[in-house]
Amino acid sequence: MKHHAIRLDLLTAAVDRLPDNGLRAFRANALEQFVKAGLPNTSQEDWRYTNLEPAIRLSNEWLVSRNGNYDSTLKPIQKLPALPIETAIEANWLRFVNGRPAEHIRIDGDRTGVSVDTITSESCAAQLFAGDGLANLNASLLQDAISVRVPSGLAVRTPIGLLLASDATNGDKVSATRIVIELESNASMDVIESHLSLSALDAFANVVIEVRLAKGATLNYLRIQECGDAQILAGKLIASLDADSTLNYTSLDLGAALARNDVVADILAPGVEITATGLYLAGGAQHIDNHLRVDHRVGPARSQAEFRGILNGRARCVFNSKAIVHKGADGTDARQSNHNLLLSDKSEIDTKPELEIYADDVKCAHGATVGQLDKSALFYLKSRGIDEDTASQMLTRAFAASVLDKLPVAVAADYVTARVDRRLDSLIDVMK
Amino acid sequence: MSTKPSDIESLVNRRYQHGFITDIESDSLPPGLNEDVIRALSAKKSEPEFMLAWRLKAYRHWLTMREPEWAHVHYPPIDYQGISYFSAPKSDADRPKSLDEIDPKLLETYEKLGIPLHERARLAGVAVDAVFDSVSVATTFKAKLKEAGVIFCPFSEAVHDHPELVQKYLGSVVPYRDNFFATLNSAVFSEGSFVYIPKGVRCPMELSTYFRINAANTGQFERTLIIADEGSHVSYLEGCTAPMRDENQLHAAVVELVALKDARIKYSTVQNWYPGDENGKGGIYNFVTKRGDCRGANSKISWTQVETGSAITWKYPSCILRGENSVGEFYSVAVANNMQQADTGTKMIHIGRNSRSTIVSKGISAGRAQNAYRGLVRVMPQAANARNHTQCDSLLIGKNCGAHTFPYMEIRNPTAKIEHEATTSKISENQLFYCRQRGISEEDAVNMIVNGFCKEVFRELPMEFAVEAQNLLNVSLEGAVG
Repeated sequence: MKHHAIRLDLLTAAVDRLPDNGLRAFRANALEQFVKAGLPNTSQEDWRYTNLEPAIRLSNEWLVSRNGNYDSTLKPIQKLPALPIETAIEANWLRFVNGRPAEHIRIDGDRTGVSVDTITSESCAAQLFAGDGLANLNASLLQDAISVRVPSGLAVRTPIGLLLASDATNGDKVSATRIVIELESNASMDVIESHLSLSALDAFANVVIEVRLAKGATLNYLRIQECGDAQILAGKLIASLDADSTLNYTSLDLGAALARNDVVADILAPGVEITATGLYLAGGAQHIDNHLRVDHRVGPARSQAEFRGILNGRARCVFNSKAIVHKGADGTDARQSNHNLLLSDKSEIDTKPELEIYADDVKCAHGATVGQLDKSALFYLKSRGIDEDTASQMLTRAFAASVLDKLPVAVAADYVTARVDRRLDSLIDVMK
Repeated sequence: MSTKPSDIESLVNRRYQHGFITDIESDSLPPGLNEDVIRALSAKKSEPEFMLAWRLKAYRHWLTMREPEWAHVHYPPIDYQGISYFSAPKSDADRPKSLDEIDPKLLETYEKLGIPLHERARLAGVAVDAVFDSVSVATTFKAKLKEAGVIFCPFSEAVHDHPELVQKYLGSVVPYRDNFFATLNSAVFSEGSFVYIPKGVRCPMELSTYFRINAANTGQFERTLIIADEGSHVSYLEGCTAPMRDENQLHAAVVELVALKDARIKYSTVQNWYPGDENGKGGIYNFVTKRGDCRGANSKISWTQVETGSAITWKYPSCILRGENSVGEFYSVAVANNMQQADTGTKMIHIGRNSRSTIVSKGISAGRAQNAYRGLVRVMPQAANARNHTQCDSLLIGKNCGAHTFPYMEIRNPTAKIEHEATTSKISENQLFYCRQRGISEEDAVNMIVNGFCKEVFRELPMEFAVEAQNLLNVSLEGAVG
């Protein structure tokens, strides 16, 4: 199969015009890698169900329109009105538009103890992740890399919000966002990552979040993706976990035309606990792809993943979780499950929970189901005088609710419940 | 295959070299593959024109293909030009004269499996006529089958006697363009079985390659085609529990099953090809394409396999559930010990309404082996009320082996009900302790637990196979514990 590629001449010209702000060497290396390998295509196992062709097309349109000139994107956007999620969820919001800080980032460091900085030193930049096609592209086009750091022993009280908005009104169709979250030993923090589109125009956002958890650290992480219908979003969270650290992660996909979410966790020392849950609600022609990978390098450690999806219209969703238990990682307990509800004839789910195990003292299990609402549960409700429509709505909501029960960031519960309800309304409405 | 030494051969022959002579046989093609080789092969078998045309089409397509790399197995590159693609059956002069010439280790294994004396000779490749009169047995069976109207013959015979059936069904389940190894097989396959069960006939006995005349040299590129006409019923057994002597390293077989309306096919395999030694030297590469097509309504195809042999197994017996209410089943036990690698599983493609499938896969890894389950359940939009249940369990014995699970589910119908469950565990200390406490030796205890683990699959095997399969499992896992 012929796969299209990003125009490398224009990309190189664009990268060359980026300012020398400490990221230059990092960008150059990443670009070199990108020139060699390009973006992944559907002949690669991890991408067999998701085609990045629209992102490539959009990138080329953007590169041609810019003609190697990158200046207009250099100015950070100054004025951004408060968005509903900011007023609804009490958090210290860091606002980004097209990957750039929307205003001078300020968090009262003295009060919260959290330090937020722009990475400007080459040595710090050299440690940033660039290892696959999308991350290389992200790194090549990166203008700002932001680091969020929590000192040892601090339990941050107010969650940090990462507002990641796309706005293509000025022709900025392609953006790269990079945030590094570092928790020193025994620190803990809640993070809310929110994806939004400020315009209805098509745009391709490429986001990489790096998480480093030191000994005993706890990170509660909630991702809410509410992009517009024309938005393409490629997101990656890459986490390394030291001894006894904990990552509680929940992902909610409610919007976007094409969204790919990769969560990659590397367990480096014993005592780690990872819980990942997710909910994807897709209708229309949406394509939502969630990929999880946990490397159990040492044991004992525990990882658990549960994702659920409700699909309507012509939506296509992909779920892939992979637990790799490396040699000697005894005492590993890895569990994965994925449950799906298809509401329409044209929707499609491609699910693949994988296990790769090279150690013997392990407990691993995975399960996946695809089906309809439980007929006997429907009958039970109907026999109690509830009409079929109401009963099936109740059961559909209950199916989604099991993810919402376990939100890692409690202050977001009301907002999330309302948004999920609204999305479900629109999906169930189509069903009738 | 000639006895001319080559790298592949010498590896495989290492343990079975006793009693071979080194003269080059005249009735073999030299190693190498090109259109002339295929023409010569077809001519030697005096095949009709349509067969040659089909082989050449496959060969030309094969040249455009790349060897697949996605399986979870590793092996050095295969030199396809180093293989001889045709050799006449070995003459009796070329074979071991008696059991005294056979590797004692092999005989020991036969002893453990409880194989009757006269069969041991046959399995070890001793000239059959000298010790074992198979003809009489086979003739009795042949008469019975003929009476029922069942056609059961070597493929090359079917090409001459029933060209219309061969032409109609060959490649209709596994097309010549299907995959690298199946395409190679289509170009060069030399022998195999052909079965046709007429309308409404229940095959009077279980068919087995074992009783087929000329089955001694099945060759490395075997092709089996089984057609069950409307309302018919057949159970087919392939392979046997005893380790088979074989001088070819690469096996790329193709099996095609066609089940028409209301027909049922049960296909059972016990595979115990030479797995190589403890260090992974030698051993058979078993790259097989097996697929059944439930073409008619209410048809059923059931695969049962016990895979213990081969250095590398790459095999996915599949069902295309085209007919309404059709049923596909896959029951598998795959054992990998020492340096063996297995990547095996199934595909269930639901097309017909109300089609149902069941997958039960039990993988056992020991030593330094890698054992992967790879399965696909695909429900097409028109397959209303499709139903699948998959259960896939792995058992790990030892610290250096691997067990992997790669299940693919692609669902495009809202009324489908699909369930997949998988677990991985080791034999627990508690279980072992419980048995030891009751005076059962550790080895027996492990055998017992492993057999219990596989019970769901053994239950599906024809009775005579089931007993042997249990013994085979014990032998295969010898040395894995303690």
